[in-house]
Amino acid sequence: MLIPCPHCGLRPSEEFVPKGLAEAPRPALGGRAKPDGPAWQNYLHLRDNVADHSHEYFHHALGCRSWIVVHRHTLTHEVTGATMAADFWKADKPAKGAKDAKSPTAETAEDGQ
Amino acid sequence: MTASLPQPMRLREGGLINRNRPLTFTFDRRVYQGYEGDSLASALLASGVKLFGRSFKYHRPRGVFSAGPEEPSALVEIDQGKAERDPNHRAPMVELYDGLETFSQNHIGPLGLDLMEANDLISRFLPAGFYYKTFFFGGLQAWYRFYEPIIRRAAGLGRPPMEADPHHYDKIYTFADTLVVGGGIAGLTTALSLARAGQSVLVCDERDRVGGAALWQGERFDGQSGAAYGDHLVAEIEAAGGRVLPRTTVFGVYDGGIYGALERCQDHLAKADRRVHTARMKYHRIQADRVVYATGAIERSVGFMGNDRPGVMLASAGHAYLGRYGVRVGQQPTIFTTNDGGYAVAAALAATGADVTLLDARADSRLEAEGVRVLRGVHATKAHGRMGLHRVDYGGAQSGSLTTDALLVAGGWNPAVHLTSHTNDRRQSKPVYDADLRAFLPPELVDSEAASGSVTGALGTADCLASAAAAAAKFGGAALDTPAVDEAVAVSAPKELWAVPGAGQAAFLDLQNDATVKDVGLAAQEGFRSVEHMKRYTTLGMATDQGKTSNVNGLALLAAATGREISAVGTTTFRPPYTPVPMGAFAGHHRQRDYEPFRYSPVYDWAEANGATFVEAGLWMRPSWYTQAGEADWLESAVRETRATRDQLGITDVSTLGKIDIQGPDAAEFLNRLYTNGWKSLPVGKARYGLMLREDGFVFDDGTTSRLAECHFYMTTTTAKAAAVMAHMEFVHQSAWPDLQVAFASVTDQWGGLALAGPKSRDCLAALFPELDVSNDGMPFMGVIETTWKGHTARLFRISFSGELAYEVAVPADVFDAFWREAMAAGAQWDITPYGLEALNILRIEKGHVTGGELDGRVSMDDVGLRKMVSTKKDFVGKAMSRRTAFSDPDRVKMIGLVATEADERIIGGGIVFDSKDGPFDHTTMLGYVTSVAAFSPLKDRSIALAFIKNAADYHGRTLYVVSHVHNRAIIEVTAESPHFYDPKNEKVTG
Repeated sequence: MLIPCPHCGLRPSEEFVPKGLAEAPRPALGGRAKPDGPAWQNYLHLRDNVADHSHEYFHHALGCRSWIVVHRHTLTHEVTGATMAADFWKADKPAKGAKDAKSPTAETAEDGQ
Repeated sequence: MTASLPQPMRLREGGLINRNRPLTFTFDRRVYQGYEGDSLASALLASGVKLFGRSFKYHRPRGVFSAGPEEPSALVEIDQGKAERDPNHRAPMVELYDGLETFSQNHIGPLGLDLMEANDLISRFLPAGFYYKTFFFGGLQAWYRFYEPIIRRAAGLGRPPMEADPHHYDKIYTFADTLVVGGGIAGLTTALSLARAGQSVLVCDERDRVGGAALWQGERFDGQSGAAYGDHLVAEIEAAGGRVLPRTTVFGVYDGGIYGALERCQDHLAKADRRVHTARMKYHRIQADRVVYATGAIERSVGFMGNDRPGVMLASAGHAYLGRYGVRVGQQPTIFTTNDGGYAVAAALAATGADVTLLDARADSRLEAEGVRVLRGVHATKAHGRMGLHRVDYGGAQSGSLTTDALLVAGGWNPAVHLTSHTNDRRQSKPVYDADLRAFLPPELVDSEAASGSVTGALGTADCLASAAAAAAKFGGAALDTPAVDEAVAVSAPKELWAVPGAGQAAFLDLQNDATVKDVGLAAQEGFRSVEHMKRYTTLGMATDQGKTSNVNGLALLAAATGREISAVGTTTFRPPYTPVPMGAFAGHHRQRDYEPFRYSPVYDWAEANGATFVEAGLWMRPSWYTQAGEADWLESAVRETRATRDQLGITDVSTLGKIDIQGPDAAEFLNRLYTNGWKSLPVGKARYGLMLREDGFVFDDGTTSRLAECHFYMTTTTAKAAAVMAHMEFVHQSAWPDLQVAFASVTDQWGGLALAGPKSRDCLAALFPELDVSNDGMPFMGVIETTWKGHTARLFRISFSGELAYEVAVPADVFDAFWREAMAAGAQWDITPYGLEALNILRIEKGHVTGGELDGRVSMDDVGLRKMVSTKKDFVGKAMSRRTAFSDPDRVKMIGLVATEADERIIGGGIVFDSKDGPFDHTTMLGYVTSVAAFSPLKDRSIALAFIKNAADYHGRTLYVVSHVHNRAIIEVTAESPHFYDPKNEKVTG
């Protein structure tokens, strides 16, 4: 597999360490989200495991040390792009399959209080 | 040289062998001769050998069945000896060299008299699924004690080498614009066209010479033989800048244009000619934008009784042995064909003077072959001859029996679609059945793929060359002149005939696994309708050949038995590798000592010269203890080092600690978010102990961080977590708080560090830095001074892990060895004692400091008594989740200290803690577990430990019991107390 690092260009996947799906941003610092509420649970634990386009964190550990979000189709392994993690939650997310319903703004919102 | 040995089946002329270079080799210790250019199979066939080995399940005598990589039967072991033994070589793929030693496999006793052959006599009672059904009798105990050992002895192909592989292997990255898999005439033609168009082209061919089927089929290209024309194409490709790798099998296709290939560099050479310290094989990781599959086609057989007898082989194999090696596989051969292809083989054999009969399964064929007796509408029904074929029965339009010594079966061609299907997940399609060609063709290819030659289903040289031109055109190849070909081979799609009528138990499909026509019927009858289930139930298509000659017949018969179309049944999933690849090739040089890099402290050499015994800590080699004269064991050394440190002065190497340099206006804010405690108020020139949580609230790592300047911090981590902490910091910074103006870099390798510990450590530090005020006022506990030592930056920290008055000093790594030696000299007046990890461990357990043994990813701040480290005024990583209710469950285990009651008993690491010595010692009564053990604590004059137990606070002062279920189950009596055994008020470190 080849990963298009936004900083280094197309590099072999052996240079990267995966972390998991980037499905929700970290709840805001100093926020009042409850540990068992959806904001923290979505960030830490709940993953949809889609058979579709997905967004996954990868660390270019043997390269530029950037954390990036790789856009990959989980059925075909097709990699359609990658975004710097720093930019991922800021910008409008690139098109992805059934996952578009969950918007970043909704995810950042504090749950319940 | 040995007198020339008889080769009764060798013709006087013809073939691509050098009759002037005879080569001597052995098979089962008997001496034979062949010629340069021979394969092991062709040389043995030339010498009249028919019996090559025994089959896997029934131990039936088997000969050679093919002339290529698809060989299911003729598997041999090369060499003998514990390390050199190399099993399961396919005889047609073994190139002959002088002195080659080979052995048959899979028999007990001589090959001709295998004791396991009884399996064949009772084969009717050993159908598919027999093992699953039968060995339940007697229950699980009977399986382990009786059935499994017997089956294990009977099962398995070949014997593995019993010692480490002595060969060298290399891994290399190889790049090309276009990879062409297969160096037959079609593949080479496409490659030349692309190379002429300016592409960097790489051709890989698995055989020792290019040319494919043109090496033996006999057609001529512009008047040249196939071999000469192939060589001509190679020269042209190389002239155009392309590369051709022979003996290189592309075994797998992976995502992103990555292809795995194995190049066999040395196995074909005589031992004396092999280069030492040079790779036996190379594993190429090929990166290519485009691929051309020119993988050819593999002939298939037909199911009939005895179709596995030695002497029965594929028609293409008989043709190849004749055309390429000058070996006539029979004086009186019979061809059994379902298509026109069999006539060319028959004619070629008849031209050598052989007495040839051809059985054509088609009644309506009008084809003739010169000098060949043709029976039409006739099929073979049974082959006779246990150790070598001597007669074949036929039936159909007429029936009868023929005396024969070779039976060549032409059942049609299966395009070698294996590689084209490795990325089926990507394209969401599988090989497609073509009902007219009666063959599976490659799935729809994507833009970066093309196919050339008979893999496309093309029959005959002209069609193959047309497909080669089409493949080249797809990738923008240059136009080439098509060579004039005199078509020597008549071709047609075969009549549909997977097994002859009445074929049953001894009609084989998979010769390697002894799966028969009857087994497939049985699988269907028992409900295994999916081709994947049928494969696993019958084992058809498993093992080293992966059913290259049997899969299609098997699934076609399954389709018939279940009343479905072949296209509806489909193929099993093809996965890499195409042919077996030695594990050594994947490992390359990454084995044993070179498996991972080692990291060495700058004072490794000093430590080694001073009696250190090292332990691997991650990649680091750390001194475990320093042996002095007269010391009997590690514990004696470690206890001496501990006492010296507590009483006088110890020195230890802390260079392996993770070190991270952090700078930027937001550095303090960043640390505030990383650590549980506050950092903004830390003054310049001070260090602070910090605790990090994971985002899920568990303790992650600890260490000290010092403020060197307003916007400059120096962090240390544990040795084990250095890389993880760095990645964690990068993650939270980049993914959550990219706006923070902070930058950090690992400086672990840039700084060497030592700790001076003990009552004399201040004196020693003063001796090293005489101009500095290191008094308790000048350098209080947690004080940090940045200064110079001989012109080099030196950082002094008053921190302690041992519980003693202690200092750590860091200097640049390249002067650390000199600094260490000077510290040893300066401390000599106080008998400075270097101590290793074992003493460090005793010291910190006595002090109740935690390390990786305690911070194992399952503990909370409360569990290790570090709740006081939490700032309530700010948020930080892990804070929210650390408030989960489960973390305050009173049943959670918390840290406690244990002291052995008896001075001569050792607490065992990993032991389980109980509060009664009456048992039962199991999960119903366990209180907790031991995490760290000091085999001997000078402080307590006996063994002590850190442990985690439930309701820890209630057990202080009480007697408990430690049992190690994995050690000796002895019951060790201990007393529980605070884990801070030594100086609980911290008077030593602050004084």
